Amino acid sequence: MPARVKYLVFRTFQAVLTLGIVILILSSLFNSMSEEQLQTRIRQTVTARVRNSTELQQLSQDQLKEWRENEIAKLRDRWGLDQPVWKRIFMDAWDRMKLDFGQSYMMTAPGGSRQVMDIIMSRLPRTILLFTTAAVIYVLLGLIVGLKAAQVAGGKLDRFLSIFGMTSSSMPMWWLGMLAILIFAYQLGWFPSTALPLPQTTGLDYYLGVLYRLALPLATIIFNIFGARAWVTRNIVTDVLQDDYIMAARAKGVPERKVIYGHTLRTAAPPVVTSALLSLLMSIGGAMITEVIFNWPGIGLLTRIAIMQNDIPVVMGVMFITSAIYIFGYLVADLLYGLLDPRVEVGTSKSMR
Amino acid sequence: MIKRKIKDFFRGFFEIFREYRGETTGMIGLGLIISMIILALLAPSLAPETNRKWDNVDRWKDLPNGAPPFWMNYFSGTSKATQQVKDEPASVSTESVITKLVYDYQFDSDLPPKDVVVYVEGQYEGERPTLIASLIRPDGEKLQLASQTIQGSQGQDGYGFETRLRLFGGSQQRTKVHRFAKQYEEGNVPGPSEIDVTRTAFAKAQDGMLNRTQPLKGEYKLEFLLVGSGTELTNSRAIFMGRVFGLMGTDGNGHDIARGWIWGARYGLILGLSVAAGTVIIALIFGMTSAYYGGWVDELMQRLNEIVMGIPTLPILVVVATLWGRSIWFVIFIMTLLYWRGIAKTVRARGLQIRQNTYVEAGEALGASGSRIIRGHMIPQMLPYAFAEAALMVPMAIIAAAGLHVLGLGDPTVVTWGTMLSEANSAGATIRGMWWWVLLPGLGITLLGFGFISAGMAVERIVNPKMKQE
Repeated sequence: MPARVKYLVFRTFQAVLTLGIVILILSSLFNSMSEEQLQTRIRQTVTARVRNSTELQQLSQDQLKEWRENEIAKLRDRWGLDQPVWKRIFMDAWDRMKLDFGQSYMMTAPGGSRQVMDIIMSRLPRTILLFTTAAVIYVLLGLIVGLKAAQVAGGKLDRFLSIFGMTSSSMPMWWLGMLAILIFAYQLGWFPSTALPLPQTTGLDYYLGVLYRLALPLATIIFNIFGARAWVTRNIVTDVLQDDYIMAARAKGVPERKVIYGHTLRTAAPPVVTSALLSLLMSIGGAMITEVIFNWPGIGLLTRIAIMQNDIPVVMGVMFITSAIYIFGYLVADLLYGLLDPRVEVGTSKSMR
Repeated sequence: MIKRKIKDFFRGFFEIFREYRGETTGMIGLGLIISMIILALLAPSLAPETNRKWDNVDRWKDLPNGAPPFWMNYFSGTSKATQQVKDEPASVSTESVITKLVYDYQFDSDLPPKDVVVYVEGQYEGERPTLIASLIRPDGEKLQLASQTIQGSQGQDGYGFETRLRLFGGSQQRTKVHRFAKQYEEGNVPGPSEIDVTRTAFAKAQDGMLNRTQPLKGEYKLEFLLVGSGTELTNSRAIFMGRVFGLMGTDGNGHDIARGWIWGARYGLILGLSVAAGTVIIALIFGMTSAYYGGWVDELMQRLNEIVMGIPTLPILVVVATLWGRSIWFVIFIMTLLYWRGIAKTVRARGLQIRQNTYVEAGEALGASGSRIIRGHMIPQMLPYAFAEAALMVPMAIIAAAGLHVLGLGDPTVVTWGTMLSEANSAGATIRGMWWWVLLPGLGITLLGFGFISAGMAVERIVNPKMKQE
């Protein structure tokens, strides 16, 4: 097997293992909560059965008590509540690793399915629509503005960018969202203050309706993040600009445009491209509170509702997705960096470089 | 030996500071941090009875609800009455069984107070006294607003009473003001429930007094008659509730936002600095150990770091808050346990460079132990970087904690900027246009965050000259 493939397999295995351990930790954190939930549900099921059955109601007190105890024991066995705690935690984590997230306690997917996977999959595209669209825009905008600022380090744009980047990234995104609603939804009335209900029409009308609801949260996310991104790009590029070979190129009389777009960008590409890709991947996870503020029906809002209703299978499912995106996002970014930067030798650990 | 080390440390510190003074944004950031720290330290004396009594309705009942800050008067065409508290009446006189109390009120704004609240304290012997309140307008009209019998509680000599009276609050007063104004109206008149009571009471007596009010400016008198034999008045106070309030206004529940804001600075700093200190200490030890020992130790520690990195923070905080309580200290603890991960990566990378230095090798050759080299040589080298990282951690922690509040899972026993924003969010402040309630607490987060970020970046620029501008 070539070294590259071997390395890829090894790193993927490592990522899966990491995810497994994270899920194990999360499962044990949630165990007591889900146990309580199950016990309440079992009691409710048994009580409901007694209430709905005339046969059972005719039994004597003692008989009924016995029947109840039997029934509860049966259900406990079925839900695995009689197993030792560590075993249940392991089983739960294993199920999740197999992408079997179980059934939601209260929620249903649009098709009526109670499967957590279906519920999440019905919401995920909306989160991706909002946050990944935003990521594409702020990555591009950040790249353009960052490059412009780096060209004249210490210039007007550079100084403005440094202040803007610092200010905008010290603002909570959801607070910016609240301000955006205040200004553009309440004061000016240009956009709706809530994304729900989604448009009920079809065709072009539907997409225009979605776009109308999308505009405000989209602008908020971009405003919040693009300054910091441009600043990062600018730092990478100015860093390269101070290298000796750039000085040599300038001394030789290579035109400034060519220095920037030819020499500098080639060296700056690996970190810039990698961090851009990472931003795109990470954006899939969304931002919970921003979705809550805008009432955007993605997985952030789903998590919020699930947490309020103690719907642990859903919460765990979302956490699995978030962790997986994070871990595999880093893996992909790392591998991509190795591909782009010929100086990084694949197969050696970082400490050897 | 130790003395010299401390001296070295301070010399290094001052060297960095000498360069730091040249950093404009860094100095602005430092100024912001210092002002916030001063505010935070003074919070108990600047804003007493705020933190513990935030949820106590009695504490805030004399403040108007949803009043914008007073300086809005300078920006809008109509000036609104500000909050005024009069601890002493203009005159008190007693004539046989009648005690007469008069408060003066100079009305110069376009919009009158939202309401007037009066506290009357005293005692009586036998018969329960009656309190009659009237408003005497500059045009000589006298509006009787309330008349009520006072009920005291029995004490050693007679009955003591402490009565709170809202002059324009009840439906009775509404009807009285409406009846008074109706006589000037020609044509259709709106019903009593449709009028703004104080605006009508403080309006020119002419047509349109009920819904197209013109303010009648001038000196108003509030007259209180306490009728009853053996009645003695000990104390009284009148509060003219503003339509604008204080430096930052009030929220929808009548909280003074400025007072809450000061406590927000206090808890923001406590939370941010604790998390920053905790995470940086863990990251320094972790990253340095990993870098120094290398090999399988490094490999293992890096995997551990990646596992912690894979844990989604906000959901964990949410779950932990629901499971084990919402104390701010607990939030600090959990954040510290999670947030060291990113800093540890940077520390390790930098540690690998430091490890190459000859003095580390020399130390090893002299037989110094690993922990001693890490403590004595590598960590001091890392400190300025660590400081920069810690500074960036502060806003991150504050924003995350505020987010927890917005999700309804913040510590209910403390007042933070997040508390105020979450109340604003659940009260729908954004779609009710109460911008000050949304803007000002968030501005606190932004200012403090900007302070720490700009200070951290300035330090980073000094210790890492490659990042310098120009």
